[in-house]
Amino acid sequence: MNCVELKQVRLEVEGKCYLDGVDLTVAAGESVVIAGMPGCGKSFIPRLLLGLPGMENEQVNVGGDIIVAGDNVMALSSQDLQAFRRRVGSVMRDGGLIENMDMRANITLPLTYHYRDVLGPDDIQARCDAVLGDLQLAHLGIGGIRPVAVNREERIYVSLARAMVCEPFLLLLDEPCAGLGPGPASRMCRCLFSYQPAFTPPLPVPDHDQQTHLTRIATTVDLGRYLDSADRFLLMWDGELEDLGDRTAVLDSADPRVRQLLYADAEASADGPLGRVQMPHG
Amino acid sequence: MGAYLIPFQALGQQVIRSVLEAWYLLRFSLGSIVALTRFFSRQGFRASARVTLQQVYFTGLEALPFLSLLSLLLGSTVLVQSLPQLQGVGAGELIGKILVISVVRELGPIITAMVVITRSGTAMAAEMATNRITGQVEALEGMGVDVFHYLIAPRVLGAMVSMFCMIVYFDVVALVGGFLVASLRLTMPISVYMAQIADSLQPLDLYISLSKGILFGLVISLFSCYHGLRARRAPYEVPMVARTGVIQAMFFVFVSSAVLSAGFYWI
Repeated sequence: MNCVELKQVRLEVEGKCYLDGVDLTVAAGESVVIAGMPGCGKSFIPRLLLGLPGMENEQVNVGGDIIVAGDNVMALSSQDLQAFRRRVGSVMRDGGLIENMDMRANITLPLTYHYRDVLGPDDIQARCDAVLGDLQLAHLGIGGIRPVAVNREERIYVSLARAMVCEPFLLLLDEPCAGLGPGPASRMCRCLFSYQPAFTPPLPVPDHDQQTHLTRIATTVDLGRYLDSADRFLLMWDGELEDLGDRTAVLDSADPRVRQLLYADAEASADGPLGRVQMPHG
Repeated sequence: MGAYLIPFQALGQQVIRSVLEAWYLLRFSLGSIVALTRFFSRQGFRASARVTLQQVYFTGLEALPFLSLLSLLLGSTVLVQSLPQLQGVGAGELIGKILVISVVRELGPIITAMVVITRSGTAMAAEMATNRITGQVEALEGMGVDVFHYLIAPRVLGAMVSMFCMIVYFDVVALVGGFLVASLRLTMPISVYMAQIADSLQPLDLYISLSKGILFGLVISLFSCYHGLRARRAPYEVPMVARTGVIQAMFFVFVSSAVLSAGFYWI
């Protein structure tokens, strides 16, 4: 069963085309990484899957179908969209933590907002403790520690904890390892693609079959970091999405664009000021 | 011919921008008011209620010392200035009327609104802008949290409740200030002072004063939140949107106060 389907998705923001007829199918339980150069528009894919095409008052044109768990996201009403989003976890580039709340309040916020009628305060705190314990972040569970007081790595882990306490069926990761050193980034990759807590009792969500298979979609500029973690890899280039296949296919690829994303540090090319590979025309 | 049309073209574009801006603000306000009407009945009420209480604390309780000073000084200054004039024409018994007209009807709501605009309006606009720029608003939306219900409605409700209570408090303290001057200059007993105030204070004065408070609280918070959320990606936008919110809120407060007073007391 497919968890995500993009059919001929086209996105223009302020007159600039970022996605030009993108097709993508992700099966339930599959882990997919979308790699591309900075500014290529790959971050719009997790945003579109959440029904967040652009900032308010921006001129945004979205075409095509964005189907997640059978729902056409862009056709959902405001209330249905909110109900849908509570079943989708997301880890944004800088974590997206609420700065005036401490870590515990950040992690429990979605539970407090959405599930206060089915979970008591003790259940909510127990879930928070369980996730913090799994991620070895128990020291951040002390009250009063605000996001400004922790480093970027911990912010991303807390953001992951906040996403996972609601038992999502889909986890969207927008460049979670950007700005981290090689060691922490590799550790985080493994964690992001393997961690799935089991809570008892589980939350009352309608998609029980999908709930057991967490689907993960990540975007990155550093393809090599994810080779051991994801099932399938895609390349975003000039508004189009190309399926690269699995780890072996990526490693065997002779495509200079793929090699640049794989060995970004080693092959920092002098093709352009941003190291972008110049493709032959025609 | 083209050169002659340039000013008209610029004017037309400005009109279109203004109309669009007004439409966005109206749409935002309607969304906020709808969220406010469903505030108590929907999922997430407890989380939003906590934000409301925080807003009442920041807007109302934290402003009380400053508001006390302002109202005490205003109440006493009004009588310090008017008592010699009233005594000069043998109309010392009009001090109640003077205080009710100047403080309860007009200055109370306006000065309280100025305090709320400068303290909380700017803070709200800056907070919303920072939330937007740092991706916190998107993060909330991504979690399925209704931004109108969780971010806007609690601030609007908190500002309205705070304004209502602050105006009552302002009026009471200003009347105490007036009494201090009256008792010093006229050795007026409190019973006489209270009787004069009670004779001058009509129920309509209270209704209008408190209604102004609720209206100003609504408008200040809406304008501040709206302009704060208009910030997009850069921190330099924070002071710009805060300034715009403050100016528009002040403009609305003065104009609507004048219109309401003219409508109820003059026409």
